[in-house]
Amino acid sequence: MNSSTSSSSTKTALKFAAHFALFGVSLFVVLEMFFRFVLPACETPKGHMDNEYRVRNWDPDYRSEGTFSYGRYCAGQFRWRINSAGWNSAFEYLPAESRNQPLVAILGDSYLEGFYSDPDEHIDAILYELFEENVCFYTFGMSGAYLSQHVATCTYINDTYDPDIYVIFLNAKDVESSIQNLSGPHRYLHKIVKNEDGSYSDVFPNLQARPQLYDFVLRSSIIRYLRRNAQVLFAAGDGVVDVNANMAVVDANQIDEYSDIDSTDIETIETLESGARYMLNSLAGFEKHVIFVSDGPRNLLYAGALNVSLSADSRLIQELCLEYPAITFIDLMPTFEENFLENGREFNFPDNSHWNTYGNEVIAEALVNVINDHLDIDSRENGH
Amino acid sequence: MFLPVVFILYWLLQKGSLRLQNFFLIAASYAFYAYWDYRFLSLVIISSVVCYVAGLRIAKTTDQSRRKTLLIVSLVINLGILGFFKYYNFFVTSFSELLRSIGINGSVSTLQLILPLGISFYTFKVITYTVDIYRRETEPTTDIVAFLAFVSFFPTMIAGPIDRARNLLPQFLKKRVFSDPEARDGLRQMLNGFLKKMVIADNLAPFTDDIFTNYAQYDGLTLFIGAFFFAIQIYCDFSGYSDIAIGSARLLGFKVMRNFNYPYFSRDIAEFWRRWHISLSTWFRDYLYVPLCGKRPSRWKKASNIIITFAICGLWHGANWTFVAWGVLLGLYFLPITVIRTKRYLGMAGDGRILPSFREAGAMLGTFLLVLLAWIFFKSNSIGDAFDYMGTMFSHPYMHLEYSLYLPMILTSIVLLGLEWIQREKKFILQIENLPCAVRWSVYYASAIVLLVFGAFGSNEFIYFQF
Repeated sequence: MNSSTSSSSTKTALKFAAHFALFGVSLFVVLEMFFRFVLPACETPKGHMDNEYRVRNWDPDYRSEGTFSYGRYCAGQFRWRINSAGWNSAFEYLPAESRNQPLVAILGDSYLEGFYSDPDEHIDAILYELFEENVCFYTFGMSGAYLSQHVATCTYINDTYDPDIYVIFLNAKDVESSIQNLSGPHRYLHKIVKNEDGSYSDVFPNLQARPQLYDFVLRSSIIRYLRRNAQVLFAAGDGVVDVNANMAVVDANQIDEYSDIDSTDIETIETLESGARYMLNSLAGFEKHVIFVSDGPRNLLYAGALNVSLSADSRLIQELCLEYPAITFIDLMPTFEENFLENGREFNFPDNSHWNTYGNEVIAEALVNVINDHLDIDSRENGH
Repeated sequence: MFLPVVFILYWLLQKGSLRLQNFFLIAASYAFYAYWDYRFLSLVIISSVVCYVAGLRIAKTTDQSRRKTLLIVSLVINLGILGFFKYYNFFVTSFSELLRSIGINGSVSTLQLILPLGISFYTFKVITYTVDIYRRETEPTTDIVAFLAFVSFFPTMIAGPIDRARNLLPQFLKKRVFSDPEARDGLRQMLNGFLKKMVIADNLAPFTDDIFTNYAQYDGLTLFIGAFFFAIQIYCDFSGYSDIAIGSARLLGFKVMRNFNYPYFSRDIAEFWRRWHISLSTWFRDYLYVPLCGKRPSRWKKASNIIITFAICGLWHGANWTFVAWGVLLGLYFLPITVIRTKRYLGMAGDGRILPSFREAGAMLGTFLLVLLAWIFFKSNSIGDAFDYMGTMFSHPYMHLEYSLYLPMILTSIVLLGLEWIQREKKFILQIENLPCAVRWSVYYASAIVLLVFGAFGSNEFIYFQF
């Protein structure tokens, strides 16, 4: 083969590569359109960290509305709306002086963050209707949050909105996750740490700003689809804020989470107990009524198991609550059980343990009486 | 990113010497192999050098017995490495069990051996070189760079096709010419392979794993679906890999032999073996069955050699008696064809017609069902499990279980077979170069969407990597 043929082969090959690159660009455009309009890739707001309280919510200036979707086929699609205070809610949050209605602050993890239902179907919106628009309900959900974070969030809420009641939703390992010695530090959540003298201190999240390139890349619907819906693309690295890290995780290990801590040694049990007590003391310090609400292993219920007990962690909180008159503990499982036996409807999505709209309704109805018991609406209406 | 970078550098080097371009291919191939498993790269080099030297010596020697000795030495070294890594533990434990069954108890020690990636494939590839030289069917090369590039050629090194030295090696000895239509078709073939692997095979894997693991809990219909799914899974997995390998080789200007030719449209087992894993089945025919038979074998010698060949072919797939049983069963299917000498099907079924005749359809269905039964042995953990699986399949045919979850993949499999039938005169489904540009591009875009939405991303390795 002479040199001119070799040169011609090289040129043709490079021309081919250029054509293929052009095709790649056109393919990128087509896929971008597809994952925007046909199968809308998951959109999420941009995380924002409050400088004073170090509480993470959403940046309303970046983008205030969008569509959240989960799963490969985007089967669940829900709108989100970030209010001016940076929370996903149908309501604008007003400070105490601008409000003439009592306020119930609802705290929780991704279940309360509200991405798995439209804003008008969140628990806060349903409760607002159930209370005939006489009580304000503000939700403060944070993906992955546990009790130590809820305590920190309550400080922020107390100073900003001065609520009448706190409703705090617990997950299966709230206490264990809160203590840094047991589960390590967190990127954006508050923790507590046990000191050498047995006392506890608060640990602020070790936040690092997310690179701007990250936000830029996530503008691509293909990238968002692969990352959020298909969950196959670049997991967030340590120290980089990934506000959705726990949000779309299908809770396949839910049953395991509710198993007892059989192997835990006495020292660990004592640490858990003293840590829980420290956090309950902090909550009691706000001098507001606190209602703990414990979810449970609903999958076991659907599989036919009845009278499923609380997780060891939740049982600990339940027992300690007896020592605090201003703290009430509610186990949702009996409500779920009764409702499921009567209606046979599930409270979460078939492929995702987050509550569906029906689940939100059932939980809201279960809370009405207990909130009413601790909220003196009549006296407030009479000017007290 | 590996292939685009290699593609550009490779064709840029076209302006330089052939040796430099081949040297680059060796570097790329070794890097590719090292990425998967760097520990056994030395085995590839040993195998290559042994065969290279043996090839030169065999060609230079006129003394027939010395030629034979050199060939045997080369085969012993290559098959010895393969046998040690792949079959040592298998034979030791099998021998120990045999002794125990006749009442002799002895302690045997197995080794913690890891199967080197692609060893079965490149060993068979280099054997074709020395054997062909010994048979005077090909000339040895003095260009060691070209030879090393041939053995380690990354598209085919890990899971074939097991191309013959006489077909592939000459392509390393002359400068390749870039062909735009070939490269385009190569890309289409790669896309075809990715679709088969990621959309079909990998989505079937959880079903087949579950059904074959928990077969005792299922009824016959489910077990039949499981066997059907595995038949489709292994076909899409392996032919998908072959498509990707052949397509990427075409991008670099190489023509690698075809490995699959719509095997599930075969009308008898002989035709199936001419269409399934062609590079391996012809290897066993040319390098084992034909030498075993010698000149003018009797029918019974042929029959026994068929069983031996198929049993060894089964064993090639893995160190487990299930693979041997799979091979022997296929050999038994094959026997009547050899003994009775039935009509040999050469063309494709439904030749010149849209649909097959009833007779052809019946023959295809019958062949498919026979192959399906054999796959049960291939997939099961033990021969006992395979018999239990079949026993349950026939003893509890229907138990009103939940079958609807299998429906999407059943439909997908039917669509695949339908598209293959339509395109059976082509080498692969996406060989659509004659369609209008707009249609072709729509197909590419749609394929990309299907890959992203329905493709199973993750760590599903190709099944044949373990062989």
